Amino acid sequence: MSLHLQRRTRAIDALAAAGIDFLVCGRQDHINYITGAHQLWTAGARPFGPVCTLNTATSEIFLLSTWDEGVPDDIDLDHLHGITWSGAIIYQRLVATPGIAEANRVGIDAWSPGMAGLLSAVAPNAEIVPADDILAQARRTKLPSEVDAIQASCAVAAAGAAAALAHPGSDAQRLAAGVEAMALAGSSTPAAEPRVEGPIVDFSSIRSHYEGGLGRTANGDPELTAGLIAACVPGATAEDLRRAAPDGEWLVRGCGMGYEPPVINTRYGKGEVLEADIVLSVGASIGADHRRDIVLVTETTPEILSLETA
Amino acid sequence: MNSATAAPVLELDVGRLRRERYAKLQAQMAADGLDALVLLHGPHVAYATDCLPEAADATHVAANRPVAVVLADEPQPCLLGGDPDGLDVDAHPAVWPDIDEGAADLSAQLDAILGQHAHGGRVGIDLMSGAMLRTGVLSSAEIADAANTLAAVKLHKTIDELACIHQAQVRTSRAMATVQEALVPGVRRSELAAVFLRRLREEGIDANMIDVIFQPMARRMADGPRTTTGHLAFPTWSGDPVYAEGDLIWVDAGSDYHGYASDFGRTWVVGRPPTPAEQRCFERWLAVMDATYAAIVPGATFAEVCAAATAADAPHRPDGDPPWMPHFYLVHGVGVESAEMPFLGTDNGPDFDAAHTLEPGMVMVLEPAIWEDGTGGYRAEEIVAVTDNGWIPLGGGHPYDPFEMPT
Repeated sequence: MSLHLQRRTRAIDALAAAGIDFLVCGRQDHINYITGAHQLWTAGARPFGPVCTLNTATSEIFLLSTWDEGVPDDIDLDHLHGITWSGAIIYQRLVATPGIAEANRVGIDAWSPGMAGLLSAVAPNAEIVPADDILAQARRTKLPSEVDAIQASCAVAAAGAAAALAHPGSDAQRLAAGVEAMALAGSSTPAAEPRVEGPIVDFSSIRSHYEGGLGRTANGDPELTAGLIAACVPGATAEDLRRAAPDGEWLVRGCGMGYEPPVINTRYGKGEVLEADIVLSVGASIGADHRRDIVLVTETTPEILSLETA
Repeated sequence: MNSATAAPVLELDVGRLRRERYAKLQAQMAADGLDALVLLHGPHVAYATDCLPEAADATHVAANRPVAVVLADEPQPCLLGGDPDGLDVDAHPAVWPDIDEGAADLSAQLDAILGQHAHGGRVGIDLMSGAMLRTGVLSSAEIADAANTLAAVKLHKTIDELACIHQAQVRTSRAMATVQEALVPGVRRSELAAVFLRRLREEGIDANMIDVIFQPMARRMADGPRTTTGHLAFPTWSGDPVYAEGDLIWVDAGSDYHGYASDFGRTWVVGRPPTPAEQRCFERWLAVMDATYAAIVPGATFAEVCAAATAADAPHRPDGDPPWMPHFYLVHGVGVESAEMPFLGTDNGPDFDAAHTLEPGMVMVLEPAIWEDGTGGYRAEEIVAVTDNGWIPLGGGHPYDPFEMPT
């Protein structure tokens, strides 16, 4: 089964188990996870709108896309809705979507006052509930092909970091060189904003939906995050990571189709327990030293997916 | 450019930009009967506080988003998180509204900042995360749609907003001039993107807002992607094609200067001059642009502008279809969003276009597109601002090479 269909099955199973009949989602990472579509990347989070709907009983999907370029074959042209600028058309499409009028529980991945009114009109009997946590849970452990995709994206970020470290110019010139190198290596889209500050570089990429990253400091301490990475094992809690973390700023968070839960730092992460097949961004900064890697939690020793290029 | 007036010197005064936007926002809050605004959408936060959105993936922006709170009677906004350094804001600790623990922190901070308004006050908000819904953020306030309040103030730009858009467009265009020199047979899309992203940084722009588009267009629609409109597919995700001599490339890019978007559009031909048939498409596009420019005056309805553009191309269009792509528009606005009001010629339909009029301060991105199936077509974009008696160009003056201006 292709990767996107494996992911879709995971999402549908998790939503159905939570009693959600119908999903209305607007976040691009959720849309990518469920549909596998390649859509134009834009920076920034959009306001909430019904870009993709999923009937969890029938698996029927409608996707906002005027064309079939980048859309997997399992979503037919007649299940694509063209770009619209009209609230009336959005309403008519939702009303006409099989299953929504009878739905008991409609899941959404964000909320806005305008969309709240619209959804209660098209699903009058439904409880409207947030489903982002259910989707995050479905996405939490990575399939083998997802790990491969993250590793490939890490190689792109590494090319950016290496170019910025090697460039002799100002920080701005080194940043430009890093962004250029990343594009040549396969991604013209960042995950986070790239960072070049004196000896510190941190680059991340979104390549074919998946995030990779690498943070380094010229002549930095290679052991800066060693303890924190070693603590990323099945069963580890936020408290365990806090004990292993260096004194300074640090963040351990999920990495997959972008920034994902769990989010663990000195303040957050209560109740989180790591398990095998989670992929994490593990980063720490002490003074002018910074280091960040992408790490796969395994049954044994954590595997570092980020790669330093020579 | 019949109705163009001379462009004033557009120089950004950041202090004035902030003061004028904040005053407009508070006046609109009074008109909308709001006690407070709680803003999470990046461009809205930027409008209220001048804390600029990250040019990053949506997931990162959502995870790290700052929150702006505007109170009706306070002289400056509150900013939760973000980088308050150098801003005229009351700085508060960061909250992480995308995770449940962070949403609880947001709820507590809002209770402290809003005071009595958190309970029974009328509060405009633009969006909530799932975590905010689970946590019950603002569950005892009367909720209004902040998007309406922001749309009203964004519609008419101040002089400093025009200066930002002008700078964004000038710098994006300069970066694109270098990219066009790199467009030779055998070059890949990724190589052009690399040049563009480097040149943007060199132009002082660190916020590229869309994965830059260099889309090779099939000469016949039937050879391109299938569409819901039966018309063109543009702009699509297009992988990493290698360009060959004679390829027709439609270019589209948008990057932010001080939070305001550019919108660069051009048509390029790889490695050779345009054919006479291709040049004719360009000249039809120019005629549509001239007619559109001439129709831009305050008080003109959107429908009148659309009719002028359509009439200009009517001799070539026996079907009577308008000279723009049916999934888009003749004109869209631009500002802190890459596409915002005014929209002219959309699927909102003729009644919408007849009911709305041009007003001074509106910014218009003109993007007609000409298509002659079998030949290909021409599309480019130009930005203007409506003035008291016509319009001024923003950016502007970028050549249409390799197409030739008719003598």
